[in-house]
Amino acid sequence: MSEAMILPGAYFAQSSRRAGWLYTVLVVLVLVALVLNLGHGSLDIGWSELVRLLLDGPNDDPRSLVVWNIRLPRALAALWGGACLAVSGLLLQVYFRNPIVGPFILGISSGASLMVALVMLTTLSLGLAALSPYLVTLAAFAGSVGALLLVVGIARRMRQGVVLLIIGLMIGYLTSAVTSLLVAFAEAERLKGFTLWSLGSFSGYRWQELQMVMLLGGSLLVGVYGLSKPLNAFLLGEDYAQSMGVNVRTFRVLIIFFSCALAALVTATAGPVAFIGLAVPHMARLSLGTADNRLLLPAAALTGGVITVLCDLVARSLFAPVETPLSAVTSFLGAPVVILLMLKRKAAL
Amino acid sequence: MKQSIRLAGVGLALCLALVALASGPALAAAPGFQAIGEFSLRGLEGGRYEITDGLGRVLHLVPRGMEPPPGVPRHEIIPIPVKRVVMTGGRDVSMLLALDSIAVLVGVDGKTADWKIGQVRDGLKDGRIVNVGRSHSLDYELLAALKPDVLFTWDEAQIPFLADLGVPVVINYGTEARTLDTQINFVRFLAPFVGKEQMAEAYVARVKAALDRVAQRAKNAPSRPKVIWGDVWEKRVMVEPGQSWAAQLVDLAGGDYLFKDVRGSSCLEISLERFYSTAKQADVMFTYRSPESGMASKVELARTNPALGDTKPLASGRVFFPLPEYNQSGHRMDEVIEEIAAILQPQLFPERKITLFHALPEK
Amino acid sequence: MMNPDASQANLLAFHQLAVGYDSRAVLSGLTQTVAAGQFVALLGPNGAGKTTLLRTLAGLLPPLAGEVSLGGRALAGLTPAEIARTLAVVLTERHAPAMLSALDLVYLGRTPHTGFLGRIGPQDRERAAWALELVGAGDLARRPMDQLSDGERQKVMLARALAQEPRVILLDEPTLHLDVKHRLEVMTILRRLCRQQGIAVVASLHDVDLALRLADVVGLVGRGGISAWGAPEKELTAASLAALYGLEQARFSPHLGVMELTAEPGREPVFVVCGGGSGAGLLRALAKQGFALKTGVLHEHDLDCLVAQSLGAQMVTQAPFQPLAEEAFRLACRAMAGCLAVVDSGFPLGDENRGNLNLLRQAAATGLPVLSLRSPEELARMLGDDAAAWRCCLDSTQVLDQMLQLGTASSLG
Repeated sequence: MSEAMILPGAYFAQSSRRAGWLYTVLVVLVLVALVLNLGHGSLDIGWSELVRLLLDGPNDDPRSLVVWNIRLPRALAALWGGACLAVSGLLLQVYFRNPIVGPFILGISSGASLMVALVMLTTLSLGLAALSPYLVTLAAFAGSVGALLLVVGIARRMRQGVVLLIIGLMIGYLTSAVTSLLVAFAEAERLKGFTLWSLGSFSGYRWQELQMVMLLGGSLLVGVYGLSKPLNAFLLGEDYAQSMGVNVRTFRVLIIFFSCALAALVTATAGPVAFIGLAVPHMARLSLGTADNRLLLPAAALTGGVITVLCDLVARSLFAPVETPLSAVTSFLGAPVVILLMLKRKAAL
Repeated sequence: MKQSIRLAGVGLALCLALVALASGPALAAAPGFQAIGEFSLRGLEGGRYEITDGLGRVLHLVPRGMEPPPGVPRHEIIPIPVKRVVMTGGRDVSMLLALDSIAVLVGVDGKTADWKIGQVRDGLKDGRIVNVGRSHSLDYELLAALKPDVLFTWDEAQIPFLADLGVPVVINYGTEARTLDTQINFVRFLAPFVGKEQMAEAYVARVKAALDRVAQRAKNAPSRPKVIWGDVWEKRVMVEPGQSWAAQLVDLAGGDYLFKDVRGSSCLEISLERFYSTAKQADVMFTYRSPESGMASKVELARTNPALGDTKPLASGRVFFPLPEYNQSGHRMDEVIEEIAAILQPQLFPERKITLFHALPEK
Repeated sequence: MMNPDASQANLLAFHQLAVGYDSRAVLSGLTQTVAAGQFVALLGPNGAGKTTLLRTLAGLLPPLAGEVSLGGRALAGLTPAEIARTLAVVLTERHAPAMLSALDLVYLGRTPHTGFLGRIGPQDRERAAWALELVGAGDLARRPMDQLSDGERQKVMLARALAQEPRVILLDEPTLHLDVKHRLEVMTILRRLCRQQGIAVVASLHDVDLALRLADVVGLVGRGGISAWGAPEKELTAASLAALYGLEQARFSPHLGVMELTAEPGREPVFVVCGGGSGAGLLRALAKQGFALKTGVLHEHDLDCLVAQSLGAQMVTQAPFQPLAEEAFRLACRAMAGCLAVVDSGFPLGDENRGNLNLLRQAAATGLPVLSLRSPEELARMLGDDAAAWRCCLDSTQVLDQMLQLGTASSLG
């Protein structure tokens, strides 16, 4: 019997086993990170009290409100947001076959920034006061969905991914240009709020908002998993994918839609959070040792969640009660890790 | 942003400020060398001065007609008394009023509507004062045409180009924002430029007297209201750090500033959890969010960040915001002190009219 | 599914096809058919449109006019998945995805056969193993793609195409950048696929000799269309290739299956007496150095004759299997006169060419330098005392050295 007859599945089984291990570790890490985030904060709440507050359920006690209305939504938002950003980045990296592409490359955050700048930096908000407290969130949502529709609209006509990438970049530059104009003419007081928003944070989620993020984000993530087969075919590029039976035109629109929708969901509710979408797919890929997206997608989502929750913990603990910008923490943590993993892999080659 | 820089204090905690104030005359009495926060001033023979600005750059103030020190480039020599000054930042411009020298002003940042000081508004209207643009993007052509003796601004990036134009630049903000002590004594740094040293001493004495008076009366307060000073935005919150002069004034004027432990160089973001648990106890809140910047009422503020809706200032306490005049009230420092005291202890200061702050309406 | 009854002879067909990008036709008016088990090689200069044609046939590019049919059905009416189950491609792009083993890559070829999530079942495993085995890459299965050599990678890409279980495989320059070993391996595999699996293979090639040797049909692609389509033995002529590639400096020899560079004579003429293949290398070496070649007397269709012809030598020939004719001998003597030297390739002596020995004797007698690749012993045996006038050379390098010396001497004289 030839060697090849024994081989089939061997390598696959190997990475599946490895994936099984990794998933287990990641799920444990998710739980640990969540517990850490719930137990840690400006208010000193001991572990036993935390357990009691959680078991009692939400009530009007300020300490209960802190755990139930401030810490828990924030931790869950970071978990979900990190997962969405990581998967969004993975989709675009596979589609464009470019390792330095992230979820905001197609102008999602620029679009959101523009709309937020419009409501925060101009007198427009005076007429929209009724929309509070969702004004900024709605503006960011409108901006990112606007960018999404524009990019998807272009994607439907494009033949080449690279052209789409460049057009996305240009749209980003254009919207940033308008935003910077608004910033240049804005009053100092209004600018403070906009600067704050543009730093991105998972602080201040309300439950109804969180429910929406979890529901929409969850459905999008499940939907993305359904794309994993054609996504794998895309590892060889558009031509090969089509030659292997993928309807490239439909699929391109789906990839762009899902990726941008995931990024838009996070940007609308948390502002732009840097680096997660760029770095986490690499971390997942390198720790899993496979490019197989059926294994990678869950790994990226879990890794993104864990990393973001931990980064958020660092961001609010480092100089507590002063908040460190989350993007600064994610970049500080993410960039060296990616460099390390890359170097290690290079050495192994 | 400018305002937060102006209001922030990094240097000394409250007790240090008090010590410094108490020893104020001693500092002024040393004619050779004076340190004012990160700024300094050294008097030399013949009425010359050697100063260091907020960046620590050495500049020479040379009386008109006197030979400048050899080997010093032109843009580091300022002829005194100065006749043509361009200045950015409302608080420092208003300090010129305290020195009765607003007439030397030939350029400011911002348009007429931005200014509350009558002389500046008039000057801008009839062209004696020129709007040189925004402080982070000055109009160099206008500046060159104005040929000022000196430009006061915070942006060090402007120095090289202005040096080429032969305009001396004094950076009027240090790497850390001014403390209460620095803010009060800054007038002594400005005085030699316009030759009004006596007036500076009078101003310092007046402000110090007001501080003493207020502190004395506040001692008798039956209780000290708990105070927070910060901005509520959608989902996020910012506060004045504990060592900022605003916080120091609050404590001096009979209040208890609750974010004393928050350290930083300007208004900065803290965790919602901390803000919530602290605001729960606060009686009074100061905020820069005003009807002008899109926050018309307490209800609206509470709606912006519902997690904070049940905190005391928003639910049942008092919320105040500074009027635009506040930013240009350097010459009225004594009044600022008294007004904050009157807000915190109305029964102790019944005669004081509040002119620089407004209470945020309920709805 | 494809119609199983679709005529085997019309597995892949195109009718009045125009191909190109952005409504600018590169090729037009194309009509041909490819049968099952047929190996079609597309030849043509770079930029002639071979890749465009292949992409159009694969359905990756919509035709500008006309129609492609696969298994008797119009390509335009088939879904990408339907096409993928009948037709596979191997493109020039050699992007090797990181973190993917050769076997993973071959599994990707199962895409048109697997379910919604692409789960690999026992049948898929079997197919992938079969495909790897068929291309002789079974031992590469575990290796990461980005660590394979170009040739190994190409074999795996071929296995991936096979895993699709196609009836047609289209390949764009499958031998590009491959070393000799892998080039031959890949071509052998392709021919085996045609013969044993009945798969139709259409490949664009840049090696004319490979096409000549392996293809059932060659299509000459150039000048906006397909200028010839048929058996390579018939279609590949010096003239057709010269026209196709716009050759001026080279000439194709259909009999030899090689391209020879036409000599650019810059030096004196030299007369080479050879035959039976003994002179081929010598002739090329002299041509490379720029000597004007004259040769004779050669039998037509003799290997040396074909080489000399493709090198553009002046030749004296005569019919095959005939002894040297008087007329030819006289012509050769005239051609020899004025040559820098006469070279004896050491050709095997037989009844038909014994006259050539006389030709050499004649040359020596008229005082021309005679260089011989025979050993001194053999010369002594053949010529007796006359051998002294001949100069013995060990190989063609020595002949060249002697020639260059003679050339310098004559130009000085």
